This record gives sequence, structure tokens and C-alpha cells, in this order.
Amino acid sequence: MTDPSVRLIRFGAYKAPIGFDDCDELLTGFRSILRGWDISEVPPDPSIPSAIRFSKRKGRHRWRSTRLPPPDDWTPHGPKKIIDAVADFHYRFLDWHSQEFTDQFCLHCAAVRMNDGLVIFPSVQKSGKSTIVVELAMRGYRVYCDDVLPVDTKTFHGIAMGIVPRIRLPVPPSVSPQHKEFVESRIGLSDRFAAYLNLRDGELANFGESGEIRAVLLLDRQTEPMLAQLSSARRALALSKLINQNYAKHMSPQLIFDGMLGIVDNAELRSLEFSDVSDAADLIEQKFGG
Amino acid sequence: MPTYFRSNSEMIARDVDGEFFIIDENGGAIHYLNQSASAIWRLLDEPATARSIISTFRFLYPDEDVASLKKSIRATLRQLSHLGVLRKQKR
Repeated sequence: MTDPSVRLIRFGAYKAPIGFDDCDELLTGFRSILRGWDISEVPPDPSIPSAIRFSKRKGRHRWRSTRLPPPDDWTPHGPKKIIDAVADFHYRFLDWHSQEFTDQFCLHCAAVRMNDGLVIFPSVQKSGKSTIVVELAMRGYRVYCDDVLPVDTKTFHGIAMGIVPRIRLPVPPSVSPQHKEFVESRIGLSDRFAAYLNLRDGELANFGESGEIRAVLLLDRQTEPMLAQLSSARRALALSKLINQNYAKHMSPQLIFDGMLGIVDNAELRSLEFSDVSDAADLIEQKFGG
Repeated sequence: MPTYFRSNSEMIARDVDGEFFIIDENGGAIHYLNQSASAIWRLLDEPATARSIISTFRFLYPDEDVASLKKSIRATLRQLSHLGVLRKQKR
């Protein structure tokens, strides 16, 4: 039986809608982080049950789904703050994406369009990846993602999710005043600890935009001051980093291996050792920009 | 009775510039072997004991410190066996 008080919202090409039961502010939060998505309210259709149903009870957001388990932080009570609910959903969204688009695998990485292709930065904790991405956006390069990049298994092209970057706050003290200003002028949904950045038109690729992966850049941030240095990365090392950052659990390991090898064999492979983000961005720009 | 190690033939090995990736299709995993683990994998086409692997490595790397070489090889054998990349057997 359908409940008329629940709004069913369809997000782009995803088949199943998401139900929002008395939590319009959560829907507003989701909308605020998405770019290029066709988001529309749809009538109930018993043949297509909602992927997730959100509700708000006693000030907390609840999650009901037979397809996707709730994020760890949702049990037993669910988050109070919209930014927490949006961030948790954002991560589960990527599992949903893997389920809906089985011809793609997803990489944990950041990606920026530079010149005629994408430069990707596989995720490594505290590598400065998000700060570098924001720095490159400030310099006029189009961000494809700061967290997860779906990759087409046939073309090996990266596909933008159209999700704005999320950064930790405060911004690192070492960044330039221009960088701080850029961040401050784009802060969207946020709290004391984190913020989504409302990148403007042209700064973020819309959902579904794709590009060839032309370089894999392994970030190696140093705590001691040093001049940024780019060097060749071994194929096996780059491949192992990509495999570790693979997000698609639905594919056979052989298929994943061949897909990742396809990326590695078609891209320039570099390691970047650096201590200062602006210095690192200069080098990236010299090498791949233009 | 000594324990013999052997590469697990049910897993698929892919060589990328001399370093191996071991694909465990049933377990849903891909294991990356660094250069020394790759060398051990290559040796274990035929069953061998830890002692014979260590003596091969001592011959190949005469400048390496023997104690740390032994420790490192034994740790790698343990880890690869735990992952199922190597099989153990008694003879």
C-alpha cells in the first residue's frame, strides 16, 4: 500500500525513486549537493518500490530500505543534523550507483579535467587530495569528483557523478589567502567540521559528463618542507593503488583487474611528492594543464 | 616432518613488469605481491620448505642481513598462506 504523505523523488537515470516522509529539508539538502541531475517527483508505482524511504521522527532521520543497508551511523537512532544525513546518504548513494549501473566500476579518487582528459588522484588518507582539487578548481580546472569516479568498463572513461566536493573544516592554515577566499565564497551545506562547496557553473562537471583518463597521479604528501617533485610511477604500483580503491563489489575480480589494467595502460603514471599544496598544483598545472 | 609451501594453482597469477597480482575469483579478491613476495611466488611453482626458500634468497641476495631476511621470508610465507595464495602440505 502506498502512503500519500510520502513524496517519491526520482533521481536522474536511477530506476527506483526515493521516498521522503515528512523530511523536505533532507530533500533540499540532497538537491543542494547535486549538479546536472534530473530530479523529479513521481507518482507511486507499486511495480517499482522505492530504493530507500527516509522519515523524520523525534528530530532524527530514519532510513528504511530492503536494498541498501543504512550507514553505520544511522543505527540505532539516525542522525539529527541535515549535513550528517546528507553525507551518510552521499556515501551509500555510491553503493546504489554500483547496483544500478553494473557496466561501471567505481574508483575512490578525485578527478579533474586538464587539457584533453582527466587526471585522477587515487585516495590515500591525509594525502591532501581534496585541497589539491579545490586549488585546481580555483585555477579554472573542471572538477569531476573529489571522492568517487565511476568508470565505464568498455571505454575506460571516467564519468562525473555531479556531486559537489566535501571538505573538512577549517581549511589547512598553509593554503593561500586566495584559496581561503575561494572556499569561503562557495561554502554550502556545512557545520563546524565539514562543508560542501557550491562550485559554480563550469567549475564542476555535471552528472554523466565523461572524459578519458589520461593520467594517474599518486599523491605522497610529506610533513617536512620540500619542493614538489613529479616522477614516473611503476605500473604495478599504480595498478595496486587503483585496485585498492575499487568500489564495485559486484564485479568479478578478473574483470576488475582487466579494467584497472586498461586504465593504467592508457594513462601517464606519476607520483607526486610534495609538502605545499600550491607548489604541488603549480607542478600539476605545468605538466598537465595548458 | 617439514612443511612444504606451494603456489595455489586455483588462483590466477598476472605478471605486471615482474610483479604479480594474484586473482582469487572465488574469494572475490585481488592480491598484489611486492617484488620479494613475487619472487617467492615464482619459486613456489614447485613445493619448497621455508628453509630452502631462505637459502635460495641468501644465494640471490648475499649482501642482505641473514636474520632480517629469514624473518621477512617467514612473515611473507605466513601472510600468503593465510590469504590462500600459498598452500601448505606435509611430505
